[in-house]
Amino acid sequence: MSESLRERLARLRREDERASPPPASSVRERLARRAARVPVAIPPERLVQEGTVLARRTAAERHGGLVLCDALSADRALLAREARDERIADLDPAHALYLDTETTGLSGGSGTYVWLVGLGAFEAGRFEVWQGFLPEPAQEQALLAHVAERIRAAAYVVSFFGKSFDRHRLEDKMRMHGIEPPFAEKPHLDLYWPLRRRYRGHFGDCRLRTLESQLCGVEREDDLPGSFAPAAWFDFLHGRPHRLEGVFQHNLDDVKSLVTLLAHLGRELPSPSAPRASSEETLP
Amino acid sequence: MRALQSEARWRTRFERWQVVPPRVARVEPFPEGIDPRLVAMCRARGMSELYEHQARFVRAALAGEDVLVATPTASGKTLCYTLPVLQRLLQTQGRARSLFLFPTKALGQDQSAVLTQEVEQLGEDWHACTYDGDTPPSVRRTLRDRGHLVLTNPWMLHAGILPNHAKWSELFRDLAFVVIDEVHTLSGVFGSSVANVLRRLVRIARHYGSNPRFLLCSATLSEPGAHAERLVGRPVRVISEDASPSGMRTFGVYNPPLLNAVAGLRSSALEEARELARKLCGPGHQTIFFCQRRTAVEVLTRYLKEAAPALGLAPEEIRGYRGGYLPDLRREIEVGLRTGKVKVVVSTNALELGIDIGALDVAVLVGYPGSQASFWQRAGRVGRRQKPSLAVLIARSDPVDQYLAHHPEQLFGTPQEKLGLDPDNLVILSEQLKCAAFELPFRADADGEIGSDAGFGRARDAAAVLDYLAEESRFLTKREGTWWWMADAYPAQDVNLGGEDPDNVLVLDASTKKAIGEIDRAASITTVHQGAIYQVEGETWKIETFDHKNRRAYARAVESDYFTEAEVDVDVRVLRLEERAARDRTQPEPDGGTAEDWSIWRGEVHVTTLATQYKKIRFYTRENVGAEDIHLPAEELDSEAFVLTLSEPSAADLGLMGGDRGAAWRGLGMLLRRVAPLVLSCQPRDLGLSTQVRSPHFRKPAIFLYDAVQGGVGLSEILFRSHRELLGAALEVIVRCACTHGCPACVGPLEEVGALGKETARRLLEHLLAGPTLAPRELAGDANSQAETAENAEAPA
Repeated sequence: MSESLRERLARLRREDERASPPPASSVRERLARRAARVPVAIPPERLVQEGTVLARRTAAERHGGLVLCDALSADRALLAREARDERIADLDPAHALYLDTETTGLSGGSGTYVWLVGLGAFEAGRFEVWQGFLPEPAQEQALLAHVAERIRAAAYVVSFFGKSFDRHRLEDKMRMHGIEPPFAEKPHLDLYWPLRRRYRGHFGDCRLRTLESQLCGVEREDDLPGSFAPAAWFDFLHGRPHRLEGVFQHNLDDVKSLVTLLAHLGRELPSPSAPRASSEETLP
Repeated sequence: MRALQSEARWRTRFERWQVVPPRVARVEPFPEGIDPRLVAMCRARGMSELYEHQARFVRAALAGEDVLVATPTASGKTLCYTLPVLQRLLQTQGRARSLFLFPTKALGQDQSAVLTQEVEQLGEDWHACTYDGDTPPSVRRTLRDRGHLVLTNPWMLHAGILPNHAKWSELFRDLAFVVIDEVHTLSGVFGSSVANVLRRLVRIARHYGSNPRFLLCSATLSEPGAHAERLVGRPVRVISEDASPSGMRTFGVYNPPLLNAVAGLRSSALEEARELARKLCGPGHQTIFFCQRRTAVEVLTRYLKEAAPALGLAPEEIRGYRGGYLPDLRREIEVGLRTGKVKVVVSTNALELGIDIGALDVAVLVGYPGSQASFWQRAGRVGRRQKPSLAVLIARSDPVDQYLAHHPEQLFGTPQEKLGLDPDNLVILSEQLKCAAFELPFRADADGEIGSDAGFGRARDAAAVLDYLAEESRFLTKREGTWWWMADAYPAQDVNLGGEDPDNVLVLDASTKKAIGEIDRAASITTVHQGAIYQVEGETWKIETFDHKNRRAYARAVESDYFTEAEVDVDVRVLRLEERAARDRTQPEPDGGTAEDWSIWRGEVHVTTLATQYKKIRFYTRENVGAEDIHLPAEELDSEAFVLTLSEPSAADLGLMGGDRGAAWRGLGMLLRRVAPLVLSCQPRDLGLSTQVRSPHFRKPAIFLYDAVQGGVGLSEILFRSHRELLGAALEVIVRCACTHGCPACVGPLEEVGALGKETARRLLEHLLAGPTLAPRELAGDANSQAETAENAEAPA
């Protein structure tokens, strides 16, 4: 572009006043960082090209002190009652798909990318988490098409707050790419609501992190909070040092927590002491 | 009315009566193929045929054309667009959807009631729904999936619908029509922003496979086709012959009596409205008053209520109406007007647009509303039925009103003023491209441009702006020929359609920190500087501190008996000249060649405005009770200007010399600025003015009229093209003005323009208007650089 248009734009947009402080570091420092950036900007390890999608598969047996397979013996009738969805009574937790996504923001809208989709499933009694990764925005359609097929094939979906968040991010993006979203008739057990009904007022809040620690004794080490997800992916795309590995681990742990929390919900427990009538809510 | 025409006291004050004889309708049968259910629906409402303009519109719309109907109020424009929309809905068994945009929320809700009823009559499970800030979240979902006709406004489309287009994919997949009502209100910054929102809309629709047609409605406009094409980005068929019937209509232009002929002072229009009310209000008919300001509405309403017995009315038959009233109250007044219970209503422009209040009998416009379109919208509030009606315009003592008082034919003739609209304004375009990139990535064509983009393909410099945003902002990334949105943000939230500047200044109550007002950046240094008296709804607030950096002013309520007026120094620097037209002097030069007489120019300028001091002026007496300095940084603006320059020899010939010449030259500039609303649809404050007796750039006298919006929205270009009309109107005002040495109704008061100011300005205008029109001049390649040198040469001085 011509230099003059650039100058005009900068001038007209008053870019100089829009708080862009000059770089604090010296040119030498920045050059050094650029040189150091190359090795860290490579994709996380163990990613495998599966057809049109880049993904990582991780087998898991335990989460915290719990055995994931416990979920397979959850009381289906109880789950259905807790979830207030009759259909779940007839469905086998072994055929459920445990879903958690990482996105570029919480505000939603078409410009938000779902760049990591964690899908956990039991196969022959063994639990495996498939993490589909978006290495380029242009490959969004391929990833979403694959995810849509997997969800369509599952008996039902298990998530935490997914009815309000993950489902909509995926649906929006699928519609945008002309992919029929698989959620409409699919039973969806969003663990947040039944757990909140059971434990509201017990632990301060009903976040996933709180519940997995209180109910399942899961304590994560070095967890990278989900709020770092957008920056991690942007850094990766721009070839800067990034923290994708941390987000992959976080997402993997979230999916495993879905299994342990389902197992917890599907076990008859002595009914907890009467919940306090607190209406103070913090969303997860 | 007869009394007004006969009684001596009133007769002389009416400058003109214009009678439009009753007109018979020109009708046509319903176009072939219109669904019998629609014909039946129209018949049930007493419409057995269509007016010609309606029939033409419906045929064009159903043939797949983009159409605009630009006819007066009450000519049946709503039916123009509802018929094709419903016909297509029926034809496709409910598949073809439509989106309606109304410039105000109230109008959207009003139309929604009508459309809902019509759709229900069709007996299908189809829905017309309003989507605006009041729509409850629980309803929104149903509306997205099942709303066949969605009524909304530009703000919701911009910030709610387009950024979430996937949720609206059902609508976009089968979007047949986009209806936009009152497109004459879409000008300036707002209109230029909306034009870009429509580019985004077209892009999204195309993404989902639809290619909607635009159905547009407008008041009578000058060059309606050109305006519509700039707005929607493609040629539009224009239908502007009104074939609807009307009763006899009488218009009167009333000029208040001169109180002081030498000073040119006339009695206030509001006072005169009170007087006229005694003749124009009564139990047997309905009267509407239009005021320019909200406070005027309150004052006049109170007076009329007090005078109710004398008018033969009960106080509750007289109502005020303006934005800021609660919706329920407004609905109640609207119903009262429709049923005839309310006999008199005093309103701001809130009742100017198509809110249904039925047909009234008498309209009184207290002051010219600033544009012919508004004038006709207001006057069109009366005489809808086939019965006689009366509209009276009360002129104020400002140049435009006075010009029209003497040239009422301009009111009744074809519209003159043009609408400024520039969708390619770089500031607006770059902000809107951000929003668009969030919605869908932009793909570059083989040549690196985005010419094949359905929405922004015709936008000037769009690819270059995207490159700029990708490199300079952290929002966009360009990868393999595609610009992707790449940020954790929701840009539409931060992009304002109404103003280019997200940094408007908030005026806060210093004790509660609650906002009491908002003011645009440019005006802030003269209205909310420390010590300024800030007025809201008749209350006075004193500004205690102005946090210029953080754009906040803190005020405390006071009982002030004075208001403040700030003075500014304006410096205009020419950045780039783009166009010129000039005339040569008639006398040949000594060497036999010709020399320049005067020129007009158009180009980019940089404006520096420094507030210097403010005066405290007592209310009513206008007595000056003190002055203080203002200490604020200068305000910088990059914009486009129209420039008038006069060569030094011509200036000398015309007497523009000596001590008073600066004042006289300035008087001319003031006048041009104030009559500008006659040639372009704007308020005088939309234009900035700077007069230079010896411009550093041109090295001769220059008057700059610049667009007071960052980047400009095309006003200077209209002034350049219409300069002759502008100068002509200015001369008329001077010649007609009763004052001796200048007054606020022409060049400005004697104290400002000097003893010879008015006379000099008149001579200048006569000279500029004599002789042939200007010839376009090639801008010498070095015109800009040469000027640069001139500027440098002046710098040390």
